[in-house]
Amino acid sequence: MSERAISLPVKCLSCHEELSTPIVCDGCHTLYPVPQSADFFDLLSIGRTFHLDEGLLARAYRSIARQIHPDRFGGDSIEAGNLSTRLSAQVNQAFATLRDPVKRAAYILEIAGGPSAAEVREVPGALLGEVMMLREEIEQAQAKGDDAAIARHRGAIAKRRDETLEEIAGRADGLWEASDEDKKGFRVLLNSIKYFDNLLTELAVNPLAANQDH
Amino acid sequence: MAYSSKVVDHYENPRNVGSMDADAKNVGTGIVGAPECGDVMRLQIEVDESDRIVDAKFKTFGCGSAIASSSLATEWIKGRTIDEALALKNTEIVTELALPPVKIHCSVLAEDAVRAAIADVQQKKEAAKTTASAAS
Repeated sequence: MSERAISLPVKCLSCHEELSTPIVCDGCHTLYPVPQSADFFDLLSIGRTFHLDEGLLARAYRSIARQIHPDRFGGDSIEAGNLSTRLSAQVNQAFATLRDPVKRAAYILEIAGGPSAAEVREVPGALLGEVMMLREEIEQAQAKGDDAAIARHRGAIAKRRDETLEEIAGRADGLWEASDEDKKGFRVLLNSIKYFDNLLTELAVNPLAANQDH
Repeated sequence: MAYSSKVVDHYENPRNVGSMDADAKNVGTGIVGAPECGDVMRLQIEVDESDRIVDAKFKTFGCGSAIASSSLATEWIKGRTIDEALALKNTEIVTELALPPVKIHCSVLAEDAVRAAIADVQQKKEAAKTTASAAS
């Protein structure tokens, strides 16, 4: 799975402590810029898998974020202050990406060399036509104040989103060895999530506010 | 980011909203979506015997720019021939509506919808021709 050949710094250049994350030394708090080869999993020192332990991820994030926090480097050189600000932004982005299953799956696809949503725009089968039909049905239900129909749609769409995410979860860790065709198929699945999410957002809002600009 | 006055105008008074009978032989339907934002757009055209677009309708669930792009597209292709409509470029929509770079994909969506609708009606015509020649 994580067989990529990467060379991350292993020891602190200042105090020679072992580094648990490539960007900060646990011992002397020396900061290092993010190495070119490091991905979000490396930044947070967490195994490169879709099925990560979310509690572990949150703890790793909090520990690193605390160590590199700009408040700690206020009295240091301007360079150290700037570096801590930059690293904090990168670590925050890494955490926001990895904690969310959909973003995590999209990120794994990206670092496995798969296509972006801009490159492969397809969705599974007749989904677009279905989404169009659902949107119109929801619009009518909202106009009539048919709460039962709205709840029914919400349940059905949430179920399909869950099923899609389950399929994504089942395939994500196979992406490292997947063929281009399989990576494309994974992107097609991921694309459908955004449509389900928009439907669910539409179903969650107050119908009176539904026609306002967004 | 502020919408241009033309986007606001099309958003508040969209032209040609509605639907046509997707099963009719002279009606082409294109349904397209943008996976980045989850917008969906349906654009339909009705063509006469000489491949002129006599009517166009759309329904878009998306942001103001997506609605304005499809509204403008239906306005432009009405009365044109299929070949003229195929020449429509998304960049013309971008210019007319003064769309910012982050909204260019909305104009692409409208262009894709026009092309999908034309492809659909042409396919129907081909199928009808094949059936007619098989029957004779």
